[in-house]
Amino acid sequence: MQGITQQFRELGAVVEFLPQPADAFTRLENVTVDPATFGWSTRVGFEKYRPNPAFRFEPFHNLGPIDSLFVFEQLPGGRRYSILFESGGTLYLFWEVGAEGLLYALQAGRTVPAPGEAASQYTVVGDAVLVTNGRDTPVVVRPWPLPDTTYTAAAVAVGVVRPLGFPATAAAPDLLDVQKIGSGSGSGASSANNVTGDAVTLWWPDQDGAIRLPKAYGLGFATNTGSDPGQAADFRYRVSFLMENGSESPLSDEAAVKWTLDGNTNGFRYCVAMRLPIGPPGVVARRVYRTQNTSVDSPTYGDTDLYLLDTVRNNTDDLWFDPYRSTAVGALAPALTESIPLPSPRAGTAAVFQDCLFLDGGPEDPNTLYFSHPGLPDQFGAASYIRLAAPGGAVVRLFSHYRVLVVLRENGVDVVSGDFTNGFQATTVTSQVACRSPHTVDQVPGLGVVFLAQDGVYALQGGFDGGSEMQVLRLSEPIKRTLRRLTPDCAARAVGRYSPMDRAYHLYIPVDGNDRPNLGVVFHTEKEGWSTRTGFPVGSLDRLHNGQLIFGHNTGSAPQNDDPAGLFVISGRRAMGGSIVGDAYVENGPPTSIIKTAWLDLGDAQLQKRVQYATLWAMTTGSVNITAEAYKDFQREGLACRPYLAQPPDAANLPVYDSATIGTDVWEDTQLVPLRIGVAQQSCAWFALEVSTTDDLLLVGWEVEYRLPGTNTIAGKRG
Amino acid sequence: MSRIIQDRINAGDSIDATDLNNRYTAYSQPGALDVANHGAASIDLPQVRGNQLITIDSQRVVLGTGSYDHSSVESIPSATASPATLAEVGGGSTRLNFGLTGWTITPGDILRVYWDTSARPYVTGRPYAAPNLGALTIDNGSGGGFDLNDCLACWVLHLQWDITDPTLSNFTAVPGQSDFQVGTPAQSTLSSCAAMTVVPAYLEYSAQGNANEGATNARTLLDMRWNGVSGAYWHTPSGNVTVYGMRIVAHGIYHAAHTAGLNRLYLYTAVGGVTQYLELTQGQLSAVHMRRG
Amino acid sequence: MKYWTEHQARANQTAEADQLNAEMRASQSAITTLDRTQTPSREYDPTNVGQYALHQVWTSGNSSNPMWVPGDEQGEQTNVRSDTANTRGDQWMAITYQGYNGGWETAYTETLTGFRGGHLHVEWSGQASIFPAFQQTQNNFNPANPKHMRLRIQVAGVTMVERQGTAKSMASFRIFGGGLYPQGDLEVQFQWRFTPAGQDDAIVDNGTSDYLMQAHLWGNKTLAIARYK
Repeated sequence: MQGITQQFRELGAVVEFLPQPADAFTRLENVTVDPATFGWSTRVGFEKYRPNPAFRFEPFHNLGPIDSLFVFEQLPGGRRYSILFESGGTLYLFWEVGAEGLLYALQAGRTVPAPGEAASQYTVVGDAVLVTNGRDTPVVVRPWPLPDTTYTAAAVAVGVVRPLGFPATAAAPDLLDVQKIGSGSGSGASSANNVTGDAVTLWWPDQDGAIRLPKAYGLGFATNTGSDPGQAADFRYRVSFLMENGSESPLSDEAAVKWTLDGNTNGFRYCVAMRLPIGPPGVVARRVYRTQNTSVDSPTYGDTDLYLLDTVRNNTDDLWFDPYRSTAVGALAPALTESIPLPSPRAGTAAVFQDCLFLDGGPEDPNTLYFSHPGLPDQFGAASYIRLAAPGGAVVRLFSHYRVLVVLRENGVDVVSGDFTNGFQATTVTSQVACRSPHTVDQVPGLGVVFLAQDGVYALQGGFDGGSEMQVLRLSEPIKRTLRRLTPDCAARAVGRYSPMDRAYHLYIPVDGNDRPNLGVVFHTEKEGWSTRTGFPVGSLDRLHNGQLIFGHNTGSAPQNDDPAGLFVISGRRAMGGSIVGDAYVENGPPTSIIKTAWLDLGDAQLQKRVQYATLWAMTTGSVNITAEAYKDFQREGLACRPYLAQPPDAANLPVYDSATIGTDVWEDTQLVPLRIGVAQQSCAWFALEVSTTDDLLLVGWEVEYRLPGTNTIAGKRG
Repeated sequence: MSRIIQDRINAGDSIDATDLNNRYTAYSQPGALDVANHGAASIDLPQVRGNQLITIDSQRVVLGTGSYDHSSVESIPSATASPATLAEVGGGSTRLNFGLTGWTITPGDILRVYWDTSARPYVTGRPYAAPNLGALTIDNGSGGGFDLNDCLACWVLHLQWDITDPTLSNFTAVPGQSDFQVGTPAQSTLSSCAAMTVVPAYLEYSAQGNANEGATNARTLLDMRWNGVSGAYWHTPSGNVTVYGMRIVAHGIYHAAHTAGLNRLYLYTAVGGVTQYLELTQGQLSAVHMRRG
Repeated sequence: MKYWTEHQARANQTAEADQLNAEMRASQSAITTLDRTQTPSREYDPTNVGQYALHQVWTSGNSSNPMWVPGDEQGEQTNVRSDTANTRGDQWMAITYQGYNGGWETAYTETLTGFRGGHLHVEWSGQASIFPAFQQTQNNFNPANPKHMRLRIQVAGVTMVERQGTAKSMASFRIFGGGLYPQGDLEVQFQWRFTPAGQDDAIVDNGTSDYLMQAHLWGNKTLAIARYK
């Protein structure tokens, strides 16, 4: 008698709530979506970033867990990229230049994140990376140019790493006294004949005939016709530092110099000499500003505005002369409020929005955002901050998206819009979403900004322009049961990234009380659903230029232990990394992939069904064993079915590796074949099928054939 | 205590007493809680109070038996013979006493000592006149020379400690400081002056209106009054040292000297005499024993 | 973070793995991230707190002498000094106007290796000597030229504290300052600046033609204490 057939032509993804949709799955472990067929493929695994077994785990073999990881794409098109990561409190650059594989410790002594603390965040600013962790001073890393490997790490770090911004105002210039030339007639002191050095006599004639271009230079008055000293000069100076990107430091304290002409003098104006302060690393020039003559004898008495005199285009010159006449000064100096010392020396997160660098205030100032001047990431104005409303909680992550800056906070989501000229405004999007995992934020095509919050994975969609709305959408409804395994205090250690190679958003979370990520959940955009990954030791995660995901090991190795450590890539390799066995690197086997269908009630759970066949629609992946188990009524133990090969059941086998003959066999396309599995189960109310394998399997659909013997499920047990 | 790593219980695992016990035993690991168990900012003052994480010991004592309003003073005589007698400020009654067990300073610790007092030096006439130390011959503007002193003379107050026993009868200069008892005349190089305070013995100037481009023919002596003076010392030992007491001793008068390529202070007995003495009133001597980190 | 009951095991309820897992997970999470309401009071002392957790001290010198730059001239300023041939026997190889060009001189630099950012307290104690005689000058043509040994402590190029300094022939000084500084191996520079020569200074001894000592800085030692959060 013909049975009743139910077909599942399009496979869904994991759904954990009950009852499940028929095309869903109870378990999808270590599988991915095959782009050609949209079926579930078991071809997953990972391998070392440096695949050659001869390298073993070097140069990472002595590193512990890799807390944070960043792939810095320095040139477009993947022409040059640098890998920065942190482990054990040291910021490393993985040096691959010239095929070398060395580690350079750029900065040691950084804070090791506590078990519940997020690791460092990396933000691209111009041609450099800003590293912030909420504890240490933000540093700017610009890993180019790099010398060859004969240089020590310390020598390399000096040119590559510098602190962000200016820690303090510039030091005031050290003005030398102006030693005047005496009047030459009548009594009075002639020029000093002993050694001073703290004063100079620099003069420029005021009279025609004395020199070409008289009156061209010199400060103050040239003539005092009275017999008493008079015609004083009083000039004030300030200095600032300039960085290569144009950022200017806060103006220094003021320094002043004064002199008074002797009686009956005429013919000379004096020039001023000073010692300029040397700026911190990163400074490439100094600017000198000066007032007009502010003495009571001067027509510009009381004019204390400062004007630009000159830019000294280096950070080494100590001694400098000012010969500029008052009419030769340049633009007004920037206001004192245009630049302040770095307002957030313990910033935890940063983003560039509308060309301004935004920083959070750090743990001591968690509700404030500071922003730099546009295009000048090291220069912050005195009024350049936004105080967010307190109930939203501390700022966890800044993320530039659409036309706004998304501010993910511990108890809400705010956005900042506007620009520097017209002002920035902060608006609250929602106060119910609590993001505690800054490293899970990424943009996913079709979804918007995806991140892990306290109660699931959310997508932030839409914008504010043109009447559109910004919405939060919870994506993780189907996998709530798995997400509840999250170790709640260690959510900050979760990492997530979208991979264009997989077309999936990978999220690795610490579960079951562990303090480091030990379970992956993957959102497949084609299926708009989830699967899980087990056994992937992801501690930190980022994406390479080709869309592949690179991760740092979550445990690493103590020195001499030879445990797996360092950087790995999630690839098509059918292995789970490797280990050192007897002093040689040996690859581990592939992961066990488990596909368990949803619990089917096949129409009505009250009616008993007798399932006779389950047919897998599989692609012919080769002479590999497909073992299935049949389950009934939510029981733990299943009934094993006969294994079958993933080859055409009624045609010749396709050629397989290790047995195909060169010269005789031909290359083939895989074919979709039905693999009919007999199920010798008694009646059941619910039915599920599980396939578990370490071989390559590509499942496109399945169907089940059953009969209704006509019996109902019996009543429950008496209480 | 370290990380607790245990897998979850899966449906199908047997309900086993050993497994359940092991899970709870995992919370009783030997060893104290360690870095794998603490969240950020989990240690605050209540957690460390009283446990000597920064300061181990401290003590303060009034220094000297004079009174701060100068109504009663201690008088230190100048030395007329070499070496000078070291006079304890306070005469033995104002010293730091660290008790029977003393303070044991270990290589990870630092001992910081600070003192201050009020001092007034007395000098009558010019006992330092040529040909004595410091007498300069300055051009007098008319072809001759004029005796003007460089005044590089001082009284010394320096710190001593007793690392022998609590009877406090074996005081010696602290490391880096000389007791000024050795040499002819008694002296010290400037490299052994790590724990002392100097008080100028006398001051004189070229008189106003008299100097003319490096010349002088008249001088003015300054009558020096009371001045606050202070000093500091710190010690970071390389091995354990137990300190039982500390004191300040005063002596003088010394003058700058330069011999055998080194800068020194020489005892200046030529100016010693009953009319040259130092008066001290009252101050403080305090010490802190703290960890270096 | 503290947690309360996730699931209560009651009589006759199914022995469900997930229930026990939820309780164990909450406990494990709490024991992994203890906060200050859970860490025991007065239990943290040098045996269980890492080195430099709360504070750090740097000093000049070593265990036998705390003054800077060990050697024959320990504790002295050595940038500007006369040589033996030009020094009187009753003065010191020290600052002379023949050698001193004015301006700030850095006598010593202490690098605070491992400074993690926080409050920094710096102390500098020592002796300064000055030749005082020519501070007055000739009548009113030239103003008086009072002599001071100015002292300054700079941290990472920025002045922390500056004093006009001592003016007597022999004096002891103690200069100290504090401030909040960012993390880094900061360089602390201990600098001096002496009054330059006035119009009337005598700079040689007429009798011996030796250069006259004008000032000296000696007995110097430095201390820095960082306080971390």
